Amino acid sequence: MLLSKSYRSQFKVLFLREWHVYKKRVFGLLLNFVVLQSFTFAFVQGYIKPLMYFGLPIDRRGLMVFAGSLIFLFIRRSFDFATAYFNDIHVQKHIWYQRTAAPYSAVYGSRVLFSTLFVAALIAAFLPMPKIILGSSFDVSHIRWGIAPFVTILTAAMFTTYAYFCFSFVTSRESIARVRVRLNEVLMWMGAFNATWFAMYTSHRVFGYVSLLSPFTYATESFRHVLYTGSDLIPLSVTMSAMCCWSLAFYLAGLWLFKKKVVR
Amino acid sequence: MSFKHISVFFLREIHVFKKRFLKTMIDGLVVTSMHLLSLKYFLPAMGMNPEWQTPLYLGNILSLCFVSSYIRGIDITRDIDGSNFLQYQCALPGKGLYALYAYVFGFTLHMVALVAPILGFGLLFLNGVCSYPGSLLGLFFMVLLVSIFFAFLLLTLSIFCRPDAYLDNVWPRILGPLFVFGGVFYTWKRIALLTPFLAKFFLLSPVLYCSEGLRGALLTDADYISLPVCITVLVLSIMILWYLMKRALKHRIDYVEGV
Repeated sequence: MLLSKSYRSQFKVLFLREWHVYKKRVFGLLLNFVVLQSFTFAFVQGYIKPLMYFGLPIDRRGLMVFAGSLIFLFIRRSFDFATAYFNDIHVQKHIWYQRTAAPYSAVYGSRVLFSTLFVAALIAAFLPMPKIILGSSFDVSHIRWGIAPFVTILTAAMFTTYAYFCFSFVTSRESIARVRVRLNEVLMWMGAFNATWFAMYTSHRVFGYVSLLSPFTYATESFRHVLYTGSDLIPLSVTMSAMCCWSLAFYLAGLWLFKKKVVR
Repeated sequence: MSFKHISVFFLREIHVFKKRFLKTMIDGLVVTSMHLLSLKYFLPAMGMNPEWQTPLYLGNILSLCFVSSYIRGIDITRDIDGSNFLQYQCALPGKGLYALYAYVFGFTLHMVALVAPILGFGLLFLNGVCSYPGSLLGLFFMVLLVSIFFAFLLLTLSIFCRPDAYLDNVWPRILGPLFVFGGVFYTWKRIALLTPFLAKFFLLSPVLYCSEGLRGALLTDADYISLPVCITVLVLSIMILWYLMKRALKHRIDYVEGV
């Protein structure tokens, strides 16, 4: 069914509809996110934090902190898209109309795919900004450019599928806030956000083991490989494989929940 | 308007506070616990000097004020465009501004009740029962002043901006820069030692005086911006915000016709 011509054309229509909705917001998003937020983010995470924590703006440890904090941007952006999805289910209800015209997997899949690509594109536009803003204070001499696009897309896929999965089971705005605080914050901070997995492990083994349970750990460690690889990081093959598995699991679980909601 | 009438506004805020407080407190504890673990264990394992734990924690506590007051601001801006409850309150006989005083009171109550215990919990976790060179009373006074400042700031923004603008622009364009230049992740004098030019620029953010004031009240004055300066700047900022809030109210609300 997935490869049939009618399915593909329906998927394409749904995908283009998403673009039609979001293209009006592109300028605002670029201004807010790529210009304004990149300035503040790069400044704090790439310059001030390393300076405060380690006394030097250029330091591998500083890059490790910066790479970890990148996932915060993925969370923010993917949850923005998932919030629109939630509002559509509970307020505007366009999605119910779409469901009458197309298979549920096309409706859900087109949104997830569009959001993933949009999030990845926004982050890709954002990534050069720290260097532009911080200049020589931001070390890019160890960046592995070859793997950067793959890591960005895979991370965007994992966070988007995760956000859609979360918003497939929440039923109220209040629950959204709870998910953001009680789930995201815990997964983020235990996900090697401010320190490498190895540093967490050396501070206490329990933190190391708990951290392995957070899907976010694999994203933070992957970005650390992109910026400045080292033997103290979880191997890239492991982090990429784990992100693929988590993405697939979140996607299938979200799709199943969506199906339960719309097929009545 | 009699005292009895005015007190209704304030009693309503206490009612709202009672209803929401427990959930907000749990949220605050979750977030703060994660910050504390990072400051006490993870960052020192990365090489951070442990002497920065307490000053950074005192700065980090402001993120609670930001998030908590931002979320309450969403309710207010939506109310003005949706259920019009604020318009109704302001149109009651007497001075409509009493409703605003009550909102400020509600914001402040909420933040003090949230921040004060969490702050105490964090300090105990980081250092155990130990004495600080500053005073706890001074710290409480600063928490109160910081809470009032955030109440005015977010109330002004939520009245000034319509819901879409509030959700899309307030964080990236106003709160984000205030947060970044507000000394949440650094102490001003340490940055001034390393990059003096930038440090002067940071002085423009009133949030800097919140974080430095909290540090100055509990720790020593010598390493932070002096407490009287912080208090003076915050009081002035509150007065400016108060003026802006009244203007925003006049601009956005029509007591008779609604929005």
